Amino acid sequence: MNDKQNKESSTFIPPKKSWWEKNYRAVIYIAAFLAVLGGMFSNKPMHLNVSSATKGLFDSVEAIPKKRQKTIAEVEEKLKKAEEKKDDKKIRELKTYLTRLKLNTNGVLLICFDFDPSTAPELKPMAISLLRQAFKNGIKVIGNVGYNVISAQLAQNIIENIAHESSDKFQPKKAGKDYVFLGFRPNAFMVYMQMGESILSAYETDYAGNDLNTLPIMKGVHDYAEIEDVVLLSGYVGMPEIWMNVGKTKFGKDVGLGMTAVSAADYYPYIQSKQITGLLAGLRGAAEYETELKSLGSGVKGMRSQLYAHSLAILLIVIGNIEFFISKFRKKRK
Amino acid sequence: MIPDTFIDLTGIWVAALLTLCVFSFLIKDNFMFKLTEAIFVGVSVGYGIVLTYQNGIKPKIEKPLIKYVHNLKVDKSAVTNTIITEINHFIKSNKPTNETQLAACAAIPFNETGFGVLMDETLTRSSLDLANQPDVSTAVQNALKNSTLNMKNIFALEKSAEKYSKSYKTVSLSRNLWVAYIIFSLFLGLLFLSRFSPKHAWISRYPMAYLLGIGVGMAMPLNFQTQILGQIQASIIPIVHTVSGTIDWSKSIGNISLIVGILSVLYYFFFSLKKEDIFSRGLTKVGIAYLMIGFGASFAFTIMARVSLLIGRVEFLKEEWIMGTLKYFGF
Repeated sequence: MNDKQNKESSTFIPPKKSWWEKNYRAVIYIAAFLAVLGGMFSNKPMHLNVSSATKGLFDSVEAIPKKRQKTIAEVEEKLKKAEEKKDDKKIRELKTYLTRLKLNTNGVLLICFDFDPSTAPELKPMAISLLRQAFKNGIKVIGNVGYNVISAQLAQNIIENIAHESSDKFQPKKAGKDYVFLGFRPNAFMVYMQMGESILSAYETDYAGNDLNTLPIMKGVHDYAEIEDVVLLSGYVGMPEIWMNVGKTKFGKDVGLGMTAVSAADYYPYIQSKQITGLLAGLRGAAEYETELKSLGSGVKGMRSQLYAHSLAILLIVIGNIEFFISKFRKKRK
Repeated sequence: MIPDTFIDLTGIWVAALLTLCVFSFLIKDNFMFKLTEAIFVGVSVGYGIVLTYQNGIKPKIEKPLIKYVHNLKVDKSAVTNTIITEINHFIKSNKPTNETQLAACAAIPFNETGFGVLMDETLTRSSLDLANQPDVSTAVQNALKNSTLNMKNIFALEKSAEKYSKSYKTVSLSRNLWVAYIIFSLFLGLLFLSRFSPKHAWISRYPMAYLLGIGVGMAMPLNFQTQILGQIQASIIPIVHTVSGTIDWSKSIGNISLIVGILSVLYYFFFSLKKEDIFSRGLTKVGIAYLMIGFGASFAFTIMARVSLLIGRVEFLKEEWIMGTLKYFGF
């Protein structure tokens, strides 16, 4: 008898689930998929307000040629003073520095591509806009990867695609002359510190294996002194800290950030403290940058899908709350 | 985007099907999802190992060591003769165009010519000391002093200097030390592998200690300066912000909000005092409100990030897979 009772109690029969209870997750996923897809078919123009964080980075990159001219003027002034004092060592140093500065008159931008396929939807549009802006202004670009070796090929493809883009805005750019992609070296912090001493000692060759000594762009770049701005596009927490420590604090460079939306919130305090020039936060940041650059791409396109997906999320939250209050009301009545 | 070749199209189809396999997890855990997961991990690790070798071990260890062993066989006097011949050849092929230029070039001392500056720079890069090698130095100086140097082609000069510098690395003491350092680094790196043997795992503590010591030593002062001093400095701001004598209300309110936020959140995390009086409880609640606003913003950003990832995949499926395939077959 006891055995029979135990058997009966152990065979638990779950209550019969309705179709909605069985399939509500699938319905929500399909709705989200359709919302995103709907955004892609929409051609409705989107008006985006460009935030000061985005504007800060845009203006800083835009001002690179001016920064270079300012540095050249300052070095020439110092050279005059050294010649007056007849300080041979100083004269030689300044002449070498000046020669290098004048080889890239529109300045040099270092872009660190620290993203992989999982963060590319947010960071790739930023990289494309930054490269277009730099090439449009005749700024030379140095690219590298600091964290994940897998990012290297992705970054190389992006740079090459944009460099070969022939539009009204700029002529196709040449590898080794207008841009160089250095690739990856292990231990980002040490590599960035070493780049402050000499880029050639940190990277002997570029990603394609060309000797850096033979590349025209590198004739004018020895270390951070010949680089105006550093922009980090990262999906990894910790990388911005390294660049702020090395780039800004140690070598006094202007550092800008492009972060995935998940980690962007952590870096807003650095804008107020002026430790970074600006911050692009996720896809929204990328879309704002495209708007500011007047070169709309996948960022703005993605924001349409974001709008539809967020509208769906709000709708589901409202429905959920109504359902919650109705069931609460029913319970009270019972 | 239209795939260029059939192989490109095949790649897109594989990527699309794997994407769909991953999405199938949303309905139920299944064999195809597990298979895709295994493929992803395997490919990532394999690809990562190859790339790390190509970008780390090959340029930093393999190439310098092979070059060093190869260059040990090079004859020093032969290298010197080649350099002098190359420099003379350049000078002969770049004759100055007029008398003034000739006089000016001849008068420029070795260290003040463009060649001197660039050469000096190239040598500094490879940590060579020209002064300690009087025979080569004198030979190069004489060759330049007796030359009619034309300065118009600075890159050709630098090219000569680079060749000089590269060949010269073979005979430098600093190069030997550099190679010794590479071997030492390689040895330290190999010690990490001792972790595979439980008996010898303790050996891996040495390279670990070396890495941590250097890392912490270099990062600590910079971190302190960036994270602590920089942020403290940025929070010392005027409560009332004025622009040419008039109060900037929006900025002032922002500053007040910032100061209140910092103090209240710091007070909330100060657990050494009992927060029983009205002021303490009020300040703590304000701190919590600030934290909640921060968390809310982070959460909203997280949703946006996840939707962005979905957008990336849906865009790939729509543009590259469906549209790409249709366009490839001429539809």
